[in-house]
Amino acid sequence: MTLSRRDLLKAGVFATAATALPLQRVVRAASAYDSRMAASKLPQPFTIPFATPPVARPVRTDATTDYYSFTMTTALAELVPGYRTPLLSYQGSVPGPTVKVAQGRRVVARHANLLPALHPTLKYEPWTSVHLHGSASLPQYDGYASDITRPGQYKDYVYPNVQPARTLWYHDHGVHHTAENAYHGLAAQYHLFDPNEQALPIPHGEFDVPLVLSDAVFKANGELLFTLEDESGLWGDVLLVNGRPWPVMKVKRRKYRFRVLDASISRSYRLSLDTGDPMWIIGTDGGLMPAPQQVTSFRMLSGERYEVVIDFSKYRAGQRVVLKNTSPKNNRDYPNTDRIMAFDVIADSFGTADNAIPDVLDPVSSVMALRESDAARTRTFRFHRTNGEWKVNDTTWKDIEESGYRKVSADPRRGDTEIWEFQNNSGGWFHPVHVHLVDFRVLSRNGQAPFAHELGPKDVIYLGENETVRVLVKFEGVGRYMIHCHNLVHEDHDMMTQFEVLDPNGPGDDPMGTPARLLGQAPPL
Amino acid sequence: MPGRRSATIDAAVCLALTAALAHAVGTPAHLRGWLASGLFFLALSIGQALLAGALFGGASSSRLLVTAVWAHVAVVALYVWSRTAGLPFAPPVYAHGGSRGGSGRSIVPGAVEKVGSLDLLTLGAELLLVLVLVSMMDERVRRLTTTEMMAVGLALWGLAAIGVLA
Repeated sequence: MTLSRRDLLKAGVFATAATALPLQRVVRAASAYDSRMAASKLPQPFTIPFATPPVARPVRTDATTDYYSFTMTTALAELVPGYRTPLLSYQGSVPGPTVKVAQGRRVVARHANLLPALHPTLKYEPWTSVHLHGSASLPQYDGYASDITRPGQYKDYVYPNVQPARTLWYHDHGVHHTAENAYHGLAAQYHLFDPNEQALPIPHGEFDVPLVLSDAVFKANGELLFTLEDESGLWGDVLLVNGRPWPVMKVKRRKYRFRVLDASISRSYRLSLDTGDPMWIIGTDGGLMPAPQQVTSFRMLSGERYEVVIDFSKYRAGQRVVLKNTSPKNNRDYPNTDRIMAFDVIADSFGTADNAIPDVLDPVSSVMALRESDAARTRTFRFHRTNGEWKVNDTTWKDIEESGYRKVSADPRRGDTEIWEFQNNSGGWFHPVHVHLVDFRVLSRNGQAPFAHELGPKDVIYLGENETVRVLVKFEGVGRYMIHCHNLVHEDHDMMTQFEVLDPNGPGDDPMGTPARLLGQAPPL
Repeated sequence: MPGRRSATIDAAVCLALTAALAHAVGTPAHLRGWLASGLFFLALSIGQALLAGALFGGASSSRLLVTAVWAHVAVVALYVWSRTAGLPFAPPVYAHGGSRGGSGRSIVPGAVEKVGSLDLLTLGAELLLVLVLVSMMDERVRRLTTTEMMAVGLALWGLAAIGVLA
């Protein structure tokens, strides 16, 4: 073997590049959080005024339908004072505009992907798929992850809005990039009203307030820092409400109804008031609860919605009440992630209408009327990590893709009621389990009764560490729909599967059957 | 020195077989994921096994050594690219769904792949193999080859410095 010192040095330049470059990326990823914006540059909590997202306006309406036209574009926003952060937006707004629609009004929403061919900072192709979370949409309009809309394409989504009043949200669901897209802003609320809910004397109008919770971590230059932490999740050091860090809201001395949505990529929260006073949960993912539930704290995780009434009448004008966060375990905490926002009580006058919490809210909820004895069968879904891969019953979305989107993990019959049991045998992480299409009733958690705040119709369940949760589901509709973890990092790394509701009268529509089209081919709405 | 030469060849054979085995282990998963990458892994495994066989059989022509060295330099550079910038050509977008159908896979075009322990073992074997093969070249070819390798290394460092291989 003949190698001179000079030969070794020359070859060593190549060898060190070959080893050091991949490894330095590994090291850098592990310490990515260390490069975040200094805490001294971040805003102090409760210094930024609260605001609500704009309300979406239809471009036209007819006897049955409201037509909306949304564009997905890049946007620059000053989330941290003095810094401009590149974001992705619906209609230039982060969060996107809130849709408000009456039960029975069909909605056609055109979503045009006007995003650049490459994400401005992360350099991937920002394809999208819009999921109206909480809607029993047909499969082809459900935001099926692989039914993507690429930059330069559009898709018209049709929403029936026949379900009871509820807080829905629309957000990106594009395969492999949901976390990046939602983190950068592609998320918004969608409120469905019905006569029962409108007739109740609960807070309405200006006292019915959306709270979109999210968290972010910023680079020193103001860009969002996106890091995957071994694909376990993303936890920001800045908590935002409706896109504003730790805002402060002026409230009158009366009851307010807050539609709280956890739109974080991975973070779960336990909400409480710093006064220790109770709050009343009146609604869950699938709409009003049968009866309000009084709690002093409740936990929620990505994808969940709770309608919460807080009564400020007991506080004096000038008092500040803080909405706190006691992080459930397996989150990553920072100095100010123990608080979410503040309410400054003011003495302004207000009307006396719609300032109550009735004892009965929705006595006819079909979901909450389901009985365990109605169940035709029980199915088990295990959410686990095996050989580094996030899986549901040993299945990943890759398996679904390889089957031509035919493989299913369950095939209930239309009209059947089933018990679905979700299992998480790990103590290292929690999973937000989301079932598309349906609402379900929570039966038990580790054999115990569900928490008070879960006593309403749900479509996401907090599957905590070493927990088994049983839910009761009745299957309406037909076709293939997704089940997945709503920790969007887990979701993007394939912790998704699907089920198919079977109907003897024929198969459901193909979730990939109404693909996006080129923008140049778009007819007028 | 026949003894030393024999040890060098033995080392090269072992290293080539190690790399061939590692690529063979990775082939089924890559075939399942994306046919083109699976075939590439298979071809690489077969090529490295053939190289080991040729070296074991006494082949050591300058052409063989130069070809083997540059094939491995190319493979290593491809690996570095996949673990830093992400390969731009794999796989086609329609594999994920959209309007063209097709059986999908989960590697994202342009995504940076994770560094794994098997990767590092293979990389180490290949880099050592390159060194051993270079040592078997005659002096003129060896000088030229190491100089060109240095140029490739400097190019990789340069691309990293300007953020291409970030």
